[in-house]
Amino acid sequence: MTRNLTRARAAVAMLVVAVLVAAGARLATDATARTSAAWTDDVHATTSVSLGTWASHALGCVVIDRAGAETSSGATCEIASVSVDRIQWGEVGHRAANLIVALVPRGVSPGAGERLRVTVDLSTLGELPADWRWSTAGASGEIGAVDCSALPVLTFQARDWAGWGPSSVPFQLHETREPGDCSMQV
Amino acid sequence: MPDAPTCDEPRAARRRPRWRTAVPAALGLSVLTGFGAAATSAAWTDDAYFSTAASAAEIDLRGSSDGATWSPADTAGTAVTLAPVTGLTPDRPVERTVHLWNASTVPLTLAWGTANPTTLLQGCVTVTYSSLPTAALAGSPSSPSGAAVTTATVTFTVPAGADAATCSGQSLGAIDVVVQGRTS
Repeated sequence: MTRNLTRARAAVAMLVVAVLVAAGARLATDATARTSAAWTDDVHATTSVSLGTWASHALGCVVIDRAGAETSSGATCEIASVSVDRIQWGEVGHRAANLIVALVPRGVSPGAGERLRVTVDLSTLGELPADWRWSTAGASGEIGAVDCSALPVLTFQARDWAGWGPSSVPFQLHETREPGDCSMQV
Repeated sequence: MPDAPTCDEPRAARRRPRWRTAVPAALGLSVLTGFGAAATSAAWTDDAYFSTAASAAEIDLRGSSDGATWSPADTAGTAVTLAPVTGLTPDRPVERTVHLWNASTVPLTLAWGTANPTTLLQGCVTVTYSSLPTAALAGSPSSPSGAAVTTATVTFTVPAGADAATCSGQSLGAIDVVVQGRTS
């Protein structure tokens, strides 16, 4: 009984010593870390940001480069008119129309890859029937990269020849999408 | 005269516990060892004296908008003023560059401030930062020479899907970005 008590006391003493040794080692490590702290110096820079204005489907004509970004060359273009040349009448949902967009490019270099990206709102054309079914409509013609996702707002890229000077770009609008309509090919 | 222990006394009462003997013995041995080591050390050492000039390192990272006019720019109030970013639209990212000169007497490792903004105007603008040299920038207190100078670029972009109704035409002033120089 006495021998067991003695061993227990010895074990407690050893444990206390071990804890003290561990604490000392930790203290030494912390002190070393603090000593190695680095010096720093900051440089501040300031600016301001203001955003331009744009619309999700901005109407108009934009000159773009080969990458599809708005060109920085200074070239411009504008839409002179959007008109309905002819309507093919029929049942609702099966009608079609020939449309013409007149464009006026300035300083555009089709040879350098510059193209015209056109966005028009066809709902404003008074010649089209008021009950035109836009949800199923599509378009194709002398145009590429045709985005029908926001019809009656239509976005397309005119062929290269349209950039050489004032031109009329024809295309067909179908009330029910046909093969070849809304092609994103350029 | 005290009585000698008799054979009748219990054996445990006559023996001291082993640890009571061992611990003082260990402590005594440690003390003796320490004295011994100190004495030995004293016997084998000799002193030599030297002198040298000591000077404190100077830490000074400076900034510039054009690489010609430099300032410490230590606070937002004395920051290097970069050209404003105007007319930012989804298809046209805009970059702004800050020139950095390590005018310290020691090399500095550069890092972007951890509090620098990554988005502005409720996500209408994202801000990205160029990579900084991984090697420490050499110090050159006297002049902004080649090895002591570098540039850092901040790019402002309107994400392609940014909502025009929310973002178009918005503006924000006093955007503060920080580059930190740190000794190794």
